[in-house]
Amino acid sequence: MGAIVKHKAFEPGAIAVIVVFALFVAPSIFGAFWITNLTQMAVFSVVAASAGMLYGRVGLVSLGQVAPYGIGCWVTMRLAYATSLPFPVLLLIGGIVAAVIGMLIGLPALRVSGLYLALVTLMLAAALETVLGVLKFPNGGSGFSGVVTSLSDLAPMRRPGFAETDPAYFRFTVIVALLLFLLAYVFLAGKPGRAWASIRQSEPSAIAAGIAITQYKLIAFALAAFMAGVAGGLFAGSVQQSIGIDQFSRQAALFLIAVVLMGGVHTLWGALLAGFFSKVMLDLLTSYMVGGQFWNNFSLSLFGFGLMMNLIQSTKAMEKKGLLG
Amino acid sequence: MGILLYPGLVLNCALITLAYGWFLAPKLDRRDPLAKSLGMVAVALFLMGIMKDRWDTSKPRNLHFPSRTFTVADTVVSTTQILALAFALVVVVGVNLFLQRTSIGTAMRAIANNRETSALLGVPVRRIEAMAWFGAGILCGCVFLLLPSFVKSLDQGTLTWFVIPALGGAIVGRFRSLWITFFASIVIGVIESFLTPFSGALQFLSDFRRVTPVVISVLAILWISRRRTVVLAGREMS
Amino acid sequence: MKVEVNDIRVQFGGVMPLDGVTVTFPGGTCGLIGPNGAGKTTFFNVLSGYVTPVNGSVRCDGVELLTMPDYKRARWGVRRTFQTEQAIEGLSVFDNVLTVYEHTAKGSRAEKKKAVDEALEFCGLLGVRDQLVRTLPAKERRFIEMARAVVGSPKVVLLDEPAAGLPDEETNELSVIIRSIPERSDATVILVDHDMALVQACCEWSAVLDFGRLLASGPTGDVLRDPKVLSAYLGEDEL
Repeated sequence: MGAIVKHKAFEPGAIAVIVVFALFVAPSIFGAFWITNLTQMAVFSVVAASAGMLYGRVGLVSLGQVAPYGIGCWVTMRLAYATSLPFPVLLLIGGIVAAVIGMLIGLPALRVSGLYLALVTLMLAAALETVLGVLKFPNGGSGFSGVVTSLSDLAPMRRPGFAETDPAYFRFTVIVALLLFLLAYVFLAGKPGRAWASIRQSEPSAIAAGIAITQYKLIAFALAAFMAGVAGGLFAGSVQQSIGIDQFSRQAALFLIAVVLMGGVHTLWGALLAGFFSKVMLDLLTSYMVGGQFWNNFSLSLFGFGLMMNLIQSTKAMEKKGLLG
Repeated sequence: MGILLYPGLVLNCALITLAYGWFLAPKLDRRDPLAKSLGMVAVALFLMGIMKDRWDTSKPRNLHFPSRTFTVADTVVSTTQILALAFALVVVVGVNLFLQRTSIGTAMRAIANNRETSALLGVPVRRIEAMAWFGAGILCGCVFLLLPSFVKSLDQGTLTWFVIPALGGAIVGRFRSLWITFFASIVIGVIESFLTPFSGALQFLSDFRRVTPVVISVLAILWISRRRTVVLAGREMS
Repeated sequence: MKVEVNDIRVQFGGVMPLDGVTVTFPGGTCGLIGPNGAGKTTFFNVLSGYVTPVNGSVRCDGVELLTMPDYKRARWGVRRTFQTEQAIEGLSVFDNVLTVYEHTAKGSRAEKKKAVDEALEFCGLLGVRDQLVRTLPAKERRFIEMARAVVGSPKVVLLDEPAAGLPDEETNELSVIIRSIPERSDATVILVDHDMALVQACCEWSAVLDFGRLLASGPTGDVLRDPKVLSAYLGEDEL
C-alpha cells in the first residue's frame, strides 16, 4: 500500500517548470491540433486526479467519476447559453452542482464499501449515460434541455472574453487545473487529509480517534465531484459545440479507472500521465506511427493490457512488502 | 457451420473465460474482490478494443434463435422467451444443486468462504477456480445465444453493457443468493417493460426506463446496509 | 473516575462472548485479564461502540456511554489502542497524534502543537517527531499508539495488549508510561494483557473474565491468588 508522502506528491520545482512550459512555451510551438489536445489533457488530468484522490488517499473506488464530469459539463453549458455570467463563475456553479449531486448520490453509496461501491458507482455512471443520452448536451436552444430544434439556431459554447483563442483558452485551462490541484492539496495537507489517511488504513482506528467517517468520506466525494465538475465545464469550453456523450459513457468510466491506475494514484504525476495517456498518446500514435487507425481501434485493448499489467505489478509489490497473507 | 454454430459460440465464450481463469486470475488471487474485479475490467477493455476493430458497425447484424410465436390472452409470446425463462430457472436450480450436492461444488463454496484454509485442506484451488470460470463462460455463452433475439441490431457496446442490469440483480442478491438474484432480475425486467409504453407527459418514464436497475440496486443497498457494521481485522472481533 | 459496568450481554448468533458482566473499575490503572476467548477484546469493542450489546449499561462520570455514537465516544474521552497496532503509516508521528487531538478537542494552532508535543514527550517520541510512521520499527509504533491514546484529556483509556511483541526492556519502558497516565490526565486506564508481570507492575486493581463472565475482581495480588482464577488459567477442574 503506497502511502502518502506529501513532498513527493507536490514537487514545487518540477511543477513550476511544467507550468512555465505550458503557459509560455507550449502555445507558441504547437499548432491548433496539439493545443486542443493539450487542453483536453489538462482537463482530463483533473478528472483523473479526482478519481485517483478517492482511491489513493481515501480508499474509495469510484468507477463513476465521469458522472460529475458530465454533470459539470452540462450545467456549465446550459448556463453559458442562458445567462451572461462570467465564465469562471459558470465553472464554479458547474462544480458546485456536481458536488451537491455527488454528495446526494454519495450518501447511499458510502454506506457500502469496496466492491459494492465500485459497482454502484459504475451503475450510476450508466444511469447518467442514459439521462444524458435523452437530454443531450445544450447547443443554444431554449427550454430546460437547451437543445436546438432547427440547425440555424445552433450556437457555439462561449469562452471567457480574455481567452477566446485556442492558445489563450489552453493557458486558462492550465491555470484553472492548477488551482484545482492546489485545492486538493490544501485538503490533503490539512485535517481532512489526515482523517482520510486514518480511514484508508483502518476504519475502527479512525473511529477510535473520533473521526466521523461518513462525514469525511462525503467531504472527499464532494471535493472529487467538484473537481470533476469544473473539469467538465472546461471541457465544454474547449470543444464548444456538438458534444457527444462518448466522454461520459460507461466505457469512458472503465477507461478512466484504467488510465488512473496506470498513471498511479498517489501523485500529481499520475494524474498528468493519465491525461497524457488518454488525450495525447493516442493521437501521437495515430499521427506518427505505422498503422494509424489501428492504434485508435486498439486503444481500449492497449489500456486493458496496461491495467492488467498494473494490477499484476502492484500485487507483486504488495507480496514483497508482506501485505498479502 | 450449421449445427456446430451454437455449441461453437458457447465454447468460444467458455474458452475465453477459462483462459482468464487459468492464466491471469491466479496472479490476482490473493487480492481483495475489488482488485479482482478491476482485473475483469482490464479484460473487458481488452476485448472491447478487439471488437471495436473487428466489428463493422455499418453492417447490421442479427442472430435469431429458431423460434415460433403464439398468442396467449392477447399477448404474443415467442418460444425463445419461454426458453429464456426456463433456462434461467434451470440455471438457478442446477447451480444450486451443483454447489450443494457435488464435491466440486462443495470445493467452490469452501474456496469462496476461505481460500487459504481450503488450500491448506488440500482443495485444488487453482483447478477448481478455473472450472468455475469455465462454467461461468458456458452460462454466458448460452445466454448470448438467446439474448440477441431480443435486440434489434447487434453491436459490441449494447451486448457488453448487458452486464449493468445483470449487476443490478446480482447486487440485490448480494452475490450470495441465486434465487433472490433471479427474482430481482425478473422484477427489474418487468418494471422496465412496464415503463416502455409511456408517452406524452409521461414520456420521460419511457426515456429513463434503463435507469431501473440502478434505482433498484441502490434501494437494495440502502436496505442491506441500514445498520452500519464496523469491520474489524482478524481476531480483533473475538 | 469510576467506570460502572452493569450486566453487559453480547450475543453473536448462538455465542455469548459476554454473558452478563457487572463490574466497577475504581479508577487509576486497572487490569482486565483472563484466558484467551474470555471476552476481553469484546468488552473493549462494546466500550468503543464497534459491538452493540443486547443488554447492559456503562456509566462513567455520570454519563451513559452506550447510547453515544461510536466516534462521539472518542470525543467524550474514550481512547483505545489495538492488539495489532494501528499507527497510520502514511502520516508523520506528529500528524498521527495530531489527528486524534484535532478530532477530540478544540484549540488554536499553538494549543494543538503544545498538546501533541506534550503527548510525544510523555511517550518519549520527540526524537522521531517528524518521521513517517512507515519508516519506524514496531516499538515506536506501539508508543505512537500510546501517545494517540493520551493526547489531550482522555477520560477512559483502553489498552489492548499494548506490549504484544515487545522485548522485556521496552515493555518496562511502556509500563512506566502506563502507570503515569492516571496522574497525567486523571483518566481511568483499563489494561488487557497476557503478561502478568506487566499487569502486576501497572495495576493495583484487577478484574478477571472467563467465558464471558466476571470471575473475580479486587486488588491485583489477591485476584491472582484466587483459586478460581488459578483454575481458569490452568484449566483445572474446580478446586
